[in-house]
Amino acid sequence: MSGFQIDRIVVHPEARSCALTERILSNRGDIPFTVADSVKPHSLREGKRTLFLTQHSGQRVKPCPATASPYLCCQYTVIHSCMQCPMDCTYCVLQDYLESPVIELNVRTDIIFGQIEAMLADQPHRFFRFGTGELGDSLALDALTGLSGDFIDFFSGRRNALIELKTKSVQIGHLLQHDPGHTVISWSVNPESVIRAQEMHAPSLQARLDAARQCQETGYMLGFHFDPVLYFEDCVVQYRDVVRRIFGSVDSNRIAWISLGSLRFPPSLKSVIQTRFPGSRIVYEEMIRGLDGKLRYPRPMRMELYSALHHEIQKADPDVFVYFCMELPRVWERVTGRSPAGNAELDLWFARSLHERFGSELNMEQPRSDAYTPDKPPFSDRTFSA
Amino acid sequence: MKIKEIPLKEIREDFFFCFTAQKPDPKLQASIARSGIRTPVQLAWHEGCYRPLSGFKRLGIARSLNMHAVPAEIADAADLVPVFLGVVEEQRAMRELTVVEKARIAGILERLGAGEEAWNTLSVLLELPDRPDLKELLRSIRDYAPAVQTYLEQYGVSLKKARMFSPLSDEEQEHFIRLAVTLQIRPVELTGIITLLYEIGQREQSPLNRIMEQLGLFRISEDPDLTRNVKTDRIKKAIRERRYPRIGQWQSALHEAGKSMQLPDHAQIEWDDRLEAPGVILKAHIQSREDLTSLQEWLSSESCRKSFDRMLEIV
Repeated sequence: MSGFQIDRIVVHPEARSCALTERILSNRGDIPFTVADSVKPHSLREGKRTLFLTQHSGQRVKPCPATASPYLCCQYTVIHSCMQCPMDCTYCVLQDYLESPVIELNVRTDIIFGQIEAMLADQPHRFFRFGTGELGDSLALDALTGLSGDFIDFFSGRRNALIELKTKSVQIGHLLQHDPGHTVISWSVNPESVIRAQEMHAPSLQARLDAARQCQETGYMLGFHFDPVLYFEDCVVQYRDVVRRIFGSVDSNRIAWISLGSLRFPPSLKSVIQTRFPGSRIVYEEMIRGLDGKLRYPRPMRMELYSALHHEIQKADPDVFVYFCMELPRVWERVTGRSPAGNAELDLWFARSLHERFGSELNMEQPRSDAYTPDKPPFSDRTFSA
Repeated sequence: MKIKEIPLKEIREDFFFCFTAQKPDPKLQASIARSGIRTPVQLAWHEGCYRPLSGFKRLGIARSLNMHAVPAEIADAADLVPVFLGVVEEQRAMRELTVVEKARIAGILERLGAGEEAWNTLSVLLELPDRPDLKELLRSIRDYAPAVQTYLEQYGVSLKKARMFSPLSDEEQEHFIRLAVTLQIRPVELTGIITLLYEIGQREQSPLNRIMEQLGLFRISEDPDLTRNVKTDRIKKAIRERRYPRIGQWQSALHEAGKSMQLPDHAQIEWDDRLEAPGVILKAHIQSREDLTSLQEWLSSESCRKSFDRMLEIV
């Protein structure tokens, strides 16, 4: 059962008159709200129960910060609508990454949509994957915000983009009324034992898979993220079981992608985890400082885990697109037998896979490799205005 | 503030405000015996008696010498918190305070029931970090075994490093201090050792004493046939191998493969210790045609290829 809750809503004066603010306040029930310039909770735990509505006119749609070369990244585009998450996972990088401990929601969706439109128009032949679930959970607050519905409607019918709603939540009832066309709803998955020990306030694996099946039946594409994959005694057996349960629960033809990413975090997060979750032992496994400075399992250990997972996925459906998040070309080669030449090529691989498997329903044009050249950074050097 | 001669019998024998270690000081004793007390002690007139705020050593010596009175500055203190903070500020201006003294000062403030404002003043005075568990950490330092407190003061260990002892039991603290004292291990090294052992304990869910015993750390540290450096290296190696067992195995396998390669003398092979950067680096110092020929012959040998295969399996 998910057990998170929002205890109060704070509205920035400049965000008070926005339409999304009005909607949230009308959905809030008996959650108290105040108007204030800033919020200073005493702890992250308290911050995770505070929803702060703000409005920022700066760039809110940005390339995924990814990680340093030589680790490969997929050129995902992150929508910074909601930052911070009401769930409390031991391994969550947001504990250390975000400056503000409160859940900050930017209510100016009109500005965000404008920025997305500008990007799509700027590179009409590239197929973009956007997501709201990088700095928070895409669906966890939907009962209050209804925001995911807005994104689903916005992306519906766009020729060169889709949105991924990445979540651990099972609040999907409201999604079933929207046009699922250009939306991937994806779940972060882990064995039940990991969920119980490391993912506070998050629903069980079974609940997530049930929600995924319902979304698939409504016509949504699905995604699954084995991220972070944790190393522990018996982990291979348990992760294989998760794969089997996924393929036993949903139609694999509707799985747009599955990602694999082992536990990794900046060294500064280690003491945060030790302090906030003294009972968690995840930081005590063998880890090295990677070439990007992050702590991660040694490469042979990662490959052992990935190989077991990849093999199980291949056995279930060899056509499902599997990718690694922040991994070395060598790991790609050893585990899958091939490796993208760089981030741009990985982006192209996504487009090709989507075109091949979902091209007609996405109304996609044939991916052109010249739209994914590494020389042309997608938009990181440029600014877009609404 | 006026200086008065205050009879010793009117001064309470009270160490409430004392935050420095009270060690015998024969030089001071001799000086006072010869010339009396030159620098006044500080007293607070509080609830009908004099309570010492500073000069505990001088007062002790004066008593031992049966002196009648001592020169003192008197603070009229309805509220002892600001008076005590004044003493701390004065001490801080004269010298660096140790982390144990800081912890004791925090304890005194706590016992005085100081409010948030006083704590903020203290944080600035002592340059304490802004961390939620600060008071708890200072409290745990006050509870450290006496040997640990002495070690922290002796080496001027920072608050950050002093934390290393807080998850340890009294017995474990004493074991580590025994190790540190026997091998003259400085705090930076000791932090590394404690951190690794603590992490092993957490992963294996095993008490540190047992792990230290299994690794034979005391046996190594007290071996009369080994030098200090050899002992320290052996201890560190044993701990590292236990903390990173798989990396250790892969490294051993790589070294084994490297040995069986029968590299020519002018060549060497290297790899990333973390096993993260893929592949190995082969370096050869070619000074003659013979060097080149021998390298070519070696590279085309079956044993070389087999060894490379074994290495590349890992890296």
